Amino acid sequence: MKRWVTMFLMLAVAAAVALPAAAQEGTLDKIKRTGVLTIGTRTGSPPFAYIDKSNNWVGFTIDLVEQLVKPAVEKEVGKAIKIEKKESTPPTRIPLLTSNAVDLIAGTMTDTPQRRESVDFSLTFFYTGAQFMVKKGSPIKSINDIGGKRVAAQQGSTNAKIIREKVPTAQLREFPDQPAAFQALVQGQVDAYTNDGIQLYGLKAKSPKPDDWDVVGDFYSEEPYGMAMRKGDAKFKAAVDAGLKNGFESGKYFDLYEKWFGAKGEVPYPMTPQVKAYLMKQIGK
Amino acid sequence: MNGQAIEFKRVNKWFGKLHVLRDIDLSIASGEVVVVCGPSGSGKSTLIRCVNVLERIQQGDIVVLGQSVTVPGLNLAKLRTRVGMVFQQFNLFAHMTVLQNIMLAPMRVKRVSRDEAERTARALLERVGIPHRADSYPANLSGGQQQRVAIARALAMQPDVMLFDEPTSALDPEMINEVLEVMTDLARDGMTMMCVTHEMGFARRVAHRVIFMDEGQVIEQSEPEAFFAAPKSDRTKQFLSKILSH
Amino acid sequence: MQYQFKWSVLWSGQSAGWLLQGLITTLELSALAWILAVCLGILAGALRTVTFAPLRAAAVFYVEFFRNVPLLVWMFFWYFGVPPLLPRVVQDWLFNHGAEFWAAVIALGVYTGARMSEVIRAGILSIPRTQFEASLAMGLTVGQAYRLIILPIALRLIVPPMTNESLNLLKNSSVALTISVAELTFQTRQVETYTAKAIEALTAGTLIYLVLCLGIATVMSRLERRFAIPGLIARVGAG
Ligand SMILES: Nc1ncnc2c1ncn2[C@@H]1O[C@H](COP(=O)(O)OP(=O)(O)OP(=O)(O)O)[C@@H](O)[C@H]1O
Ligand SMILES: [Mg+2]
Repeated sequence: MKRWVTMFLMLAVAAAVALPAAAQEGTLDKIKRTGVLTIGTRTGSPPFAYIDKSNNWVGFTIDLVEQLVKPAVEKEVGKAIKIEKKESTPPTRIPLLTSNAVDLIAGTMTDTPQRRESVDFSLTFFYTGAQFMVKKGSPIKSINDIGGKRVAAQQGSTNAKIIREKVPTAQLREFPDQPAAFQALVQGQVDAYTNDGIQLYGLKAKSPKPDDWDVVGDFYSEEPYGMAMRKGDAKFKAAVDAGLKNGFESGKYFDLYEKWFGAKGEVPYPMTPQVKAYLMKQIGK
Repeated sequence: MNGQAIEFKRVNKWFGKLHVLRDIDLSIASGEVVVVCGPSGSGKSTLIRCVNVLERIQQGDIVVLGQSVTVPGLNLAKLRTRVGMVFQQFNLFAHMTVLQNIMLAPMRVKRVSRDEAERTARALLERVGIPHRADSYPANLSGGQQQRVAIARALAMQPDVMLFDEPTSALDPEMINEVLEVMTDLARDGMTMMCVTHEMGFARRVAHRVIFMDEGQVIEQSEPEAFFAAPKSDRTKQFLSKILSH
Repeated sequence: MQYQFKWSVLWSGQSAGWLLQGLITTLELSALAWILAVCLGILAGALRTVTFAPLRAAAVFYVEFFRNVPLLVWMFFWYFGVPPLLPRVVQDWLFNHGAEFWAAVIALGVYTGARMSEVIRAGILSIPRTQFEASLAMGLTVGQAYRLIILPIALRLIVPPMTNESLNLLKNSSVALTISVAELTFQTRQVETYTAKAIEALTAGTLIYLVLCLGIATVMSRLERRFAIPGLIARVGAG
């Protein structure tokens, strides 16, 4: 519990100390003053944000920030800026943001109505949905088959929440991280593992025997990933969105998508026409 | 019971390389009261602790009440119920009342009924002169009282032999006598006693024999009169001059 | 742009129910693990003080092995490592009947037991050896001496460090969330997920743990006073 108390106190103090400054200064002003845009991101969510083999902090989301958001912000503040990265996990990311420890959450955060009460989201930069990973030949083909079955999910994920609501008879086992959940699937502690489709494809691609596993089922939830910002900072949000919009329009976004999710990318995950249409619809195309 | 209560037969004992008992030959008759004295580290405690097998010997044999302590598979508990022991540090059990301390072994070892154990215990407290402290806890008694309870506790098993290892040396001077009186009474009642003590007055008055040890050996043994009046060895003389001058 | 506190998330919706469930699971898990830990701790602690070398060695092995490997590893060991050794039908039955919970109980109990045994051993060693000899000299067996004399005294002496270990056990029970046991920390995170109100959820979790710890400390100090040996342990300003 010590860890808890420390974490809590840190957050509370950070929140209290940062409030007056935050109230006066918009994020863009702050970036202008300091020359730094601090993002909260992940270290272990390939291919979105992770530490690679040569110890570089890289990923699709990080590329989006570096190559699309950064120029847009630089244009607004009128000078070159630096990107600083900090680790932010699901329980810490919103407090980190509201306490000004970071300016932008750029990881794998799903844009949900609840979260919109606390933060603002950018345009959706990735679209996936929850599916199931099962042993090849499993009778489970979709969410309709999981009644009474043991299903692993990631703690704190929207997927667990939806399963609980839609299929209350499923026996949910929630693990804090992917490796443990996958281990439970491998050993038969659970019959299926549900997560965002992209995560499952990534897991399958990296597993020792990819052919032993199937990712099945239609998206039973929508998981649009967005970048989160402090609520009510319209100018900053406009700058971030402008960067992404420019990426969609110029095609640079799709180049980056190809780099990470194309046939030769880290996790092959071809973009369906529906997803592409969804993304373009955001910018009125 | 007549004859020999305790017989040491060429007993040798080592603690690692330290040779603490050397060729001890000694017998103590039933009903005899023997005082063992000698300088610190001479092996007195070890000697009497071998009798109830708190220490094991490496050579020779000790026969206690007809029972050899070196036979394999010896029923130690049974032997020990017949040999009571009183320690320098009382060793009452702090979490039990005086009465519970005395009743424990009869009930747990001899399976005596609670009522009978309590009756015996109260009688023994009477005998050692503190019937009114039956329900006190050891920490609330004086040292002299504690040691008297310890004697009562040992007697509760109705032993045939009593061993005392410096029973008065942890006591304040004004309490020594109350303990010695109890021991004297016990001797008068015919108990076989082996006492390590430097209370020479007690030795003179009560003991049938005084044994002087040094460096793991029995140097000299004789009746108290002779022992104090005409010690044979120089080491005994030296020792006596030291302790009697105090 | 400021953080908007919204404490009502803690009692509106399902939050209160979840927190309560988490609390119950934490209590059940901790209580069962505590019983296991105390039994193992007494056994191993006592065995470490006996003269018979093989028993002592076994106890040393248990203590050093279990205490020096992180609890998280033990959770995984009992949950992932042990079941594959069982027949498939047994595994399936276990997985359908709270294997996570029992794995957590065993992991936490065995781990804490190893730590407690050190405390108990220290308690036993603080009792003069002559007390043990006095017990034997009266004809008690070694087992009786431990059961009737050494342990009752040692256990009274070690209440404060045992309180510490018990509190640690309670706090450590949150590690069970790694093998999907829905205990208090797990549920606190769940509240956070559903409401996106991290500070409120963390505060609730922290307060509940705090109250639990204070409760345990109070019970233990009552116990200490209740079983204090008259005249031996002077309690300053007590009751
Ligand atoms: N358990 C033990 N292990 C190793 N050495 C021991 C042990 N017990 C006693 N000794 C050593 O054996 C020797 C004899 O010890 P013992 O206690 O029998 O002497 P003593 O005559 O009773 O002395 P004192 O008058 O100081 O009580 C001493 O040198 C002592 O240090
Ligand atoms: Mg001695």
